[in-house]
Amino acid sequence: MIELNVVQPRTYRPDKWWVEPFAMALYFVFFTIYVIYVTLVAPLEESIQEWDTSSAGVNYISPFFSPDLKKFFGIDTPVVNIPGIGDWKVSPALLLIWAPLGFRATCYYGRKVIYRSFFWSPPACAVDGFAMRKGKYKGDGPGIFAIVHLHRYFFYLAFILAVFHWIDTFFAMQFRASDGSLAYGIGIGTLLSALDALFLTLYVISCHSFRHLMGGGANTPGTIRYWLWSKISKLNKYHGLWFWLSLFMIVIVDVYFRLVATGTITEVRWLF
Amino acid sequence: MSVEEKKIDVYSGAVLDRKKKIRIQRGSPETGIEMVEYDVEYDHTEVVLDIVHRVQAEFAPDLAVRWNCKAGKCGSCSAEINGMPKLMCMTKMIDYDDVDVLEIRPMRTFPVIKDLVTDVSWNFEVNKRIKPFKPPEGLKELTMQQKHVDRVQEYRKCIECFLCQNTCHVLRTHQKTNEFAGPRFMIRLASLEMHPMDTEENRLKEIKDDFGVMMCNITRCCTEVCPEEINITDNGIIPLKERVIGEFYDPLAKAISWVKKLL
Amino acid sequence: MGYNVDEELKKVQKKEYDVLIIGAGGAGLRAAIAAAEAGVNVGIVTKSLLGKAHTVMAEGGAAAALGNVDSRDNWKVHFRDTMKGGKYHNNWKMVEIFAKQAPDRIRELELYGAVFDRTEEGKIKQRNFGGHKFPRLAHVGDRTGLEMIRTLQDKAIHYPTLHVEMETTITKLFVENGEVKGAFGYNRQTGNLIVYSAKSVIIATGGFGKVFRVTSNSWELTGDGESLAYREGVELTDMEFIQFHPTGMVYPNSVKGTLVTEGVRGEGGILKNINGERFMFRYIPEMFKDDYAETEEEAERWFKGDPNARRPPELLTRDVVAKAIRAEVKAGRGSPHGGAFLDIASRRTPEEIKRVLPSMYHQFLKLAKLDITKEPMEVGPTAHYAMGGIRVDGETQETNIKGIFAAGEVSAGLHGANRLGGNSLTDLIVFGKIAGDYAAKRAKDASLKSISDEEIKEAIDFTLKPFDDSNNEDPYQLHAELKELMEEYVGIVRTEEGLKTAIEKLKDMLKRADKLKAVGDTRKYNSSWHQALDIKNMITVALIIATAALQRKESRGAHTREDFPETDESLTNVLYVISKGDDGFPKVSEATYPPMPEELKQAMKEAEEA
Repeated sequence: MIELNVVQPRTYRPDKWWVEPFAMALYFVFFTIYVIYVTLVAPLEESIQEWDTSSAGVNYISPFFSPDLKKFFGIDTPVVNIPGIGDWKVSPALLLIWAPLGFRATCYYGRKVIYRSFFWSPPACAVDGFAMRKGKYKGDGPGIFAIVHLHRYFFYLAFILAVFHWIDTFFAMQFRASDGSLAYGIGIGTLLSALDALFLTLYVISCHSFRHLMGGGANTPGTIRYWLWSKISKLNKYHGLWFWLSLFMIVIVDVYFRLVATGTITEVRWLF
Repeated sequence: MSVEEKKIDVYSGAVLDRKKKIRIQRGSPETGIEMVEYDVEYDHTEVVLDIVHRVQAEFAPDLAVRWNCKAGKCGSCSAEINGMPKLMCMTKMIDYDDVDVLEIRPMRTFPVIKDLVTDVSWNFEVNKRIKPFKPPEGLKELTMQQKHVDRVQEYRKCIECFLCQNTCHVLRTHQKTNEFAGPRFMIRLASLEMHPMDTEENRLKEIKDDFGVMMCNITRCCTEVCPEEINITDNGIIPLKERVIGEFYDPLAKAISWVKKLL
Repeated sequence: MGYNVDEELKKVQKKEYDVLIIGAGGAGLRAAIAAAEAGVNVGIVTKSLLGKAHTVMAEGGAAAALGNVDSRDNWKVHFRDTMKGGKYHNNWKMVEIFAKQAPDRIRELELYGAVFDRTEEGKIKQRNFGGHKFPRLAHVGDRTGLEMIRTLQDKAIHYPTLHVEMETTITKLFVENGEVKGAFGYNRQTGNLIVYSAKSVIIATGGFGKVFRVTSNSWELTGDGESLAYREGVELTDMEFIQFHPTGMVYPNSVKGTLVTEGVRGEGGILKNINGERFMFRYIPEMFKDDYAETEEEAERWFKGDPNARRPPELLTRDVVAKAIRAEVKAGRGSPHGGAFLDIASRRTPEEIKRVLPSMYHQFLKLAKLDITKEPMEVGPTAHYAMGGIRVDGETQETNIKGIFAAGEVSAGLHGANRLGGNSLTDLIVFGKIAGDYAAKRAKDASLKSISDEEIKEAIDFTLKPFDDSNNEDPYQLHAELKELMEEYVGIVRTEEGLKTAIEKLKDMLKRADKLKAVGDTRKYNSSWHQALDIKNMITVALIIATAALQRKESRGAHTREDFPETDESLTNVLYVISKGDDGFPKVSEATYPPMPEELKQAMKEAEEA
């Protein structure tokens, strides 16, 4: 006979339940570092406006910099004078990044990742989280966590972003020939850009808030709303998949564009 | 093993072709709780509940276990098998071929009565607090479209095994039984809130204030352990949250409904 | 462990109810709702947790002539179908009430919150089932029983005068001068003993499938109600009619007997033998010749929706299909594990199957690792339902003991010699309500009677007997023996010799049952104690079944005698009534129903022409 501990352990699961939260956390940490690099470090050396019309002759724009504030809204990148250091050209990525990050942080799938991987609340099913002081758990809000209620507003912004990603894909079909004239075609970058737009769109339109607004909120939605709701519901089943695919794609596309822009690799492309 | 040597269990007719160490949590708070080990022979097609029955028949006739239908329809035999909340009748022994020891414990969230049986009465108390379905007055027959009741029918698949209640960390770890009704009753509430013919008012307010829908932080374990594969989180809790947000937290939605009322 | 009756008497808990209901399945809950609506104080006692009763296992649907799918349907056709399915052995009064009230009871469920599948017009959808002429079964996929019990449960808990006592088992009824005055039981969770005083008692404990080895029934169906009632002088009848459902799972071993809903055939599933032959065409009995297709071609036309084609023979009544499968297996044409193939995969698309039969899909995938959208299932007969049970008055559900009512599977009469699929769920709500109404009515007029210490002591002794230190019988062993015996001698096909052997052995077992031993040092949730008491009930019921089966010298519906293979028309209206004899063993007497009135005969005729 085996004596049972008086204090229950965190879990009795003998399997490797920690692999999933750990792997997700790892990517999130990597992504955070990458975002810091893109928004704060990289633009100090080369600004986006320069490399999208560089010698590579492409019109690609990294998803981090989309939509192009200057091209579409005429907003110039602000320059901030930091005493003692000098002028700091604020990256447009920094001006844009809060919207998609806010969308993902308040996302009903993203929150699973965040709560499981970082807050350990709980790290996995039937596994206790960190020994929080009893009675302190409050769920969604009040306080800072109430931001999750704003998810639908982040959705509105993310929806606009997704539209611009398609516009970017369209412009990614434009190339500049050596004589400076415009040519149309498809490069690897165009394809990656399209994939990025596709995954982002799937991720955005499978959003729970969108599903609610498009018919989920009604008990007897009309024909059109019901149709929309049922289609969104089908996509919504894979919301997590779209979440990850689009999150991978954004980094892949950015890395690829940087490599093309800096001339590290020569792109394969087919001009019409 | 040759045909002649086949060992048949008199009680169930099973062909006992395998053997494993089974540890079952036994005892009650009064007598003390311990893990007791049994060497059990079994048929490779059997489920964990069969093994528990064999332990009863051969070693421990007084072993307490709840079960009814043994077909995954009544939701009585909930337990934690190697730490994972599952129905014993729907968990095949073959899934544990590569582990040496199988440990069976009662659901942890609820107080142990004895052995594998827990006191789940809290759940029945919560259900009593939920206002019943209220059809429109004077109607003798309800007319509803299938597409409008699909959702409700999904929630009504619940067999009340309470595995979700057991796994939900709000109840399991944080013990917020006063603030949160738990996933099972979130989908029960959803089945009423989204019923096309329900006329009970103020359900959303109760869902927010009395049943604590906002206590859920969407970590989705309820859905992971649901033996009926009800998508509790995506189809039940989140839509409820969205409705609550629309009603109580979203200024734009408020403004729109205000304008609508004016028109 | 031992026990002291006098000590226990001091600790016994005492409770009072106007109406005490034993069993919280569909019938018990519906009765409780009816009684609570009448304003009396109701106690409802259940062996397991609320909402776990065997009703949840009902899959196919609840039959009621709503006429939502085929408008030609009405109560008269339902009346005829039920009488015909029961081989005209039914209590016609009950069938009449049943067929007339069924639609209202079903619609009422929706007002309580049930959500049935819908037709295009948004009404309750109905599906085809064996023996029903028109699509008649209101259903929710293949989990109709769950829907019903959840609906009734959620309705019942909101009555302030309705008290649910979960995990409590009744072991004895208190009867004095032909009138009930209470019951005795124990709480499983605490092991405490309880005396209930009550003006009316409704028995709604279901059947006794657990006396067989291969059964679709859960552990609860141990014949408690039948034996409780029998011991106090209540008459039982039709106990020889036990329905073997034709389609239970036969593989794997662990789930042998688990039900495969008739809905599979209702949705187009067909039965084949190992040679791929659709064998049911060879087994259409004379009395059903007019209603069933003779060729596959005609059956196909029916499947495609031709209103003039006749139904496929897979939709024959359960007794016929079960015997056909058994005959095929006997003739060496069975499937590898001794059954027949039930094929839905080749009939419907995977999406349709998953939508209309979700729990079947799930059940096979999980337990047998078989995808029913791709492969046929292997099925064989499994003990499923008791047509017989407590003899009740057709209009009030009262028994020969005043104040004892019975409803649901535990009562006899409605289904005659064979039950039609889908009639049981409706039975629960129609007669549950009637029992509740009349029990409440009686409770309003009657007064509580005192139960003496002597009576309580007797009940304590009976209940705690398994803890007597001199006991030595192992309950699990005895149950195993009982199941073997019943499977061998009192199964689908019976003989005089076999039944006589069974009766001798069962009498011996009944004596051994007094020596059943409970182990362990606490009464709290002690399974061996529960099992010991349950087995006593099971053996009592088994003996009654065998006695009744020996008496009925004919084959009719679910009762098949190898030595009397024909139906004896002179026995159609003959009931074998069982009561407790002076020697403690069951004694048989004969009874008949009054002749059917002209208007019902007329109704049958009209239905025949419909």
